[in-house]
Amino acid sequence: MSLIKDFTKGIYRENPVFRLVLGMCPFLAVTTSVENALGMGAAATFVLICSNFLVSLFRNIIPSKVRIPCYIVIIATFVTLVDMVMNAYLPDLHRSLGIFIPLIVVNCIILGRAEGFANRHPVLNSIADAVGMGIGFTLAMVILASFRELLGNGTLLNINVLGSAYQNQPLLIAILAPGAFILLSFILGFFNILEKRKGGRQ
Amino acid sequence: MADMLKIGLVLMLVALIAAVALGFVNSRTAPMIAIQKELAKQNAMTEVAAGLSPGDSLAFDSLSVTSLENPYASCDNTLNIVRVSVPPDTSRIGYVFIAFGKGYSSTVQTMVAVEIEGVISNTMILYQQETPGLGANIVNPAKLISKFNGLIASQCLLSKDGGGIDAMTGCTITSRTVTNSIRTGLEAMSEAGLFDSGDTEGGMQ
Amino acid sequence: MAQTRRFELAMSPHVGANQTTRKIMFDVVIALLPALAAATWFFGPRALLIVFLSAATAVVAEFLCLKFMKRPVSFALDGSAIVTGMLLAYNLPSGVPIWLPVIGTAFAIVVGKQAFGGLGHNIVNPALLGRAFLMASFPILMTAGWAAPEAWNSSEDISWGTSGIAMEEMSTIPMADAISGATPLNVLKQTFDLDASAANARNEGNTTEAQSLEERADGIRSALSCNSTYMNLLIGRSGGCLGETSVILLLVGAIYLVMRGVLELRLPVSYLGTVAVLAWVFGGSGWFNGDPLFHVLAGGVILGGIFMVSDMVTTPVTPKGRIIFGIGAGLLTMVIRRWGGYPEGCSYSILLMNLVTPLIDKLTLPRVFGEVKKNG
Repeated sequence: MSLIKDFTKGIYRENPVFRLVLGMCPFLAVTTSVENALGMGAAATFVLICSNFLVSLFRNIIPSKVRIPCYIVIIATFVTLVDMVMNAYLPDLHRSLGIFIPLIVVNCIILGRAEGFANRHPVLNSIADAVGMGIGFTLAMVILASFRELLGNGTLLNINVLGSAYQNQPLLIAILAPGAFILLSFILGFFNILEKRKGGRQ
Repeated sequence: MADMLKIGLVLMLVALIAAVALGFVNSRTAPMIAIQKELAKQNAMTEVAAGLSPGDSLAFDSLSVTSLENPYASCDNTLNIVRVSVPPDTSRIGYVFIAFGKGYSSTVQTMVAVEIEGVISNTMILYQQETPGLGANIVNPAKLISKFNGLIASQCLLSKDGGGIDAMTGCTITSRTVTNSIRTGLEAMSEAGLFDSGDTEGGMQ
Repeated sequence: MAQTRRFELAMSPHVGANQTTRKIMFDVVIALLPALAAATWFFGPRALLIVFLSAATAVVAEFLCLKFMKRPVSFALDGSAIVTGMLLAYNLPSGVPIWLPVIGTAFAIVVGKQAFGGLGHNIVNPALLGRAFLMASFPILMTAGWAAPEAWNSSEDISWGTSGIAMEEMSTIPMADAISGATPLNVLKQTFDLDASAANARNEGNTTEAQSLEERADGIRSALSCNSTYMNLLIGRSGGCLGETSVILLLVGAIYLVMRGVLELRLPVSYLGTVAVLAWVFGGSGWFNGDPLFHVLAGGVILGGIFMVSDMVTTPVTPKGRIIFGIGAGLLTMVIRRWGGYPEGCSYSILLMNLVTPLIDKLTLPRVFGEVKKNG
């Protein structure tokens, strides 16, 4: 039962982006298209699962004084692995994600889950937590990326949705940096209203 | 003291395992990455040089030219020229080079295929990180770079700078950098004697 | 969350003033009308349509926001929304499609104003934010296709074009075609490009090319700085945004505002003064040979100086702070004009200074009477 709970909380109740407001750098930077968001989400989820698994497995061995350097080494290793494998087998995606793959190392979601969850919970729960958080992160990125790609380019997953007339004159700001911040604020505001309504009923 | 030793050992162990894992994966992926890069470059060259001799399969050999000036020093790059031929015949039918130019927000790389007389056959943007929706439209050949086809070095000049090429609307900087990078590359090649309608393959090994 | 009516409480002493938001805002609207007349004369009835659509959208967007936030909807008619809508429209080229002012104004009101809490709480000028939004979203629509003044009711060739340069001067410029369709500041920017190309050519040892480029740049510059050009800029016979071209009618509006006690002169004077001085210092081809008159008359600094630099909400309240604000905005305007990517820097300079307004206020806060200066 607690396994399911650990898994589901990351998707909405403790969504890393919308509720914990973590991992903003990749969230704002790579959400210019749904494809990028999915790739980044998959890579981050993979790293998150691996690091949560190892951190939880060795939680009684790693001395608490040096736990942060250990976590960083573990995370950095997996990020580098993902970077190399992606470069070798998915060069196009690797090119478009660019600098943001190495930056997964400093994505606060991953270190945050290692420090805040995996180092005091059993392996299975930690993996469930990682999968939930990863899906929550990916979902959040896909939501923002859908708006940005649709408004800024008229497409979804590179498929023309709004027609070529729109594509000639799209709302460019949506795929530029300011558009990410503006849309994020709208989404956060929407979730806050939702939460408030819920609170009012209880 | 014993505590310190333990901490040090654990850290060392973690780092060691990480290093071994990374080394192993690197040894597997490094050749693959090299192949992918080479493949991407080959594909780009084949595509851009197709017009030099339509329908034939092409061979590319990199060329080292002694008296070649480097027009791309300000972009921390060098002018590397590739000689194109149609095997089994080894005589050149043209060249391919990459032009580098500092654009609005990135160094734009343009691959240029040029005939032996110095006439541009085709161009293609290899890399750019210009403003989406504006300068980034440079990848669409119809916007600017298709206008280079059939031109020689001195004709590669924007109309704003006294030439005959109209810049993309709203992005003079990107248009100018691409145009000028191609022109300076061609000029350097011409000065090194690479363009010659005669049969001397000037300056090449 | 129903709004309850509360008594306004404030510490004494109180000064009774006959000013209300509504009165001030309608004074501003009246002051904007002469420039609207000029826009209609030079750019046609379409200008009127764009301004009307923009103002109407502003009121509707304000109304919807207030409704959504369950605040008194009567605020939508206090005039501030109309001013925002009109100012945004004044910052658009006349040839924009009619949906452009609508979404620009909606953004200005919803994100620039109401999201921060409505009038008095917005940190930047909503109209300028709307313009920045449109510039980022539709750069081509916002910077190309300047209409020649009076082209709409004239079947013949428009002799003065968009650059504000008179025809007889045009004929003295080598390759004048290259500057057709450009606003006066665009033309000036081109002379800086020509200077750079000339310097390049000189470095490469190509003296003849460098000389011809320099000649062209100097020819354009002298055409920009002649009396007939000044006259065109003064009455508004040049290409540009709807409300910015007619300097003389904008000044009529300014005089009205000063007479009504709405416009306080520190901000516009320090702003325009800084622009003029810096125009002389580095607004020309070299140092200390720029043309201050041209820089003040061309582009949007008069419109910005009268109606945006002096916005009550987003500029400092202290007298000293206002002068600092004006100087800062003037400096940024001239830096963008001379070295930036855009020909005109008026709107971005004011937006940037809006952001530091709280800091300026804090730095220039006068001492409370009787307070001892620390470490004094």
